[in-house]
Amino acid sequence: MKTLHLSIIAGLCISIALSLFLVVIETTRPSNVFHSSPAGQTTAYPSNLTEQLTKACTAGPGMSCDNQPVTMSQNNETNTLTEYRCGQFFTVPQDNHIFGSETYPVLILKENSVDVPRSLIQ
Amino acid sequence: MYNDNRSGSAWPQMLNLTEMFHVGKYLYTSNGNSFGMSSIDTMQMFKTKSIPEVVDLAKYPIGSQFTVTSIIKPLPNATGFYDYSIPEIPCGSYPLAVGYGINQVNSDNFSKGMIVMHNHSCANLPYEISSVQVSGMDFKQIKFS
Repeated sequence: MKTLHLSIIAGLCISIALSLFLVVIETTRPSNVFHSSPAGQTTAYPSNLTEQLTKACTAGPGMSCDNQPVTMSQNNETNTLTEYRCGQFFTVPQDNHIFGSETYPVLILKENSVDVPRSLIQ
Repeated sequence: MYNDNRSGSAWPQMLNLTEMFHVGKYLYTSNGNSFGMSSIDTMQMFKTKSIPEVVDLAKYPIGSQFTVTSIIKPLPNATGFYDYSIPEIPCGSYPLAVGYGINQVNSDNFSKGMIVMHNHSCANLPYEISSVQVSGMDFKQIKFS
């Protein structure tokens, strides 16, 4: 019985120590590191937009940004573009009318939205 | 490697991706069998940014690829229809609607000049777009007659 009690106490100590270690790591992480956030949640980032956008959006499929939308805050005072929503990307159909199709893809933006197109160029 | 004389005319080695991105409308006029076209640039109604802004094509061997990511934010007065916007495959640009629902967008909203430009042959550029992906916007396939 004594051994069992010692094992439980040792397990609890290890769990507490591990939790404290993770809390310290999380709170000391640099603020400009890319964070993903749940859809619709706004997170302000102090670092520059280019760095964040490059990290979040220029990578290929499978990156966290493709799977989890990210929203950045807008600076209304300086009227600068510091907001974007890099959610899930989808491929726009190409214009196939030269192959006989009579339809054209038309892009549709919402008012006050921030949209992110990306092109693969070769 | 980059060949600035591939099609008989010189293309700049430094590709300015910001200049590739234009939003605007065509003014189309016809008189009998002839027609005239001009364009109205409406970039002042949008905030845009391309990353990277400039690419040195000499750093990309033929067959290699690179990704250009842009941000486009329509300003409050940008609601409307635009005949050209984001570059598309194989060339030209996608028509764009701002502030309207999918069911409100139809072929009557766009200039006939858009059709003319889409029927135009592509220039032989030292690069080509192989894929366009978007995030945060919708698209609709519209039949134009």
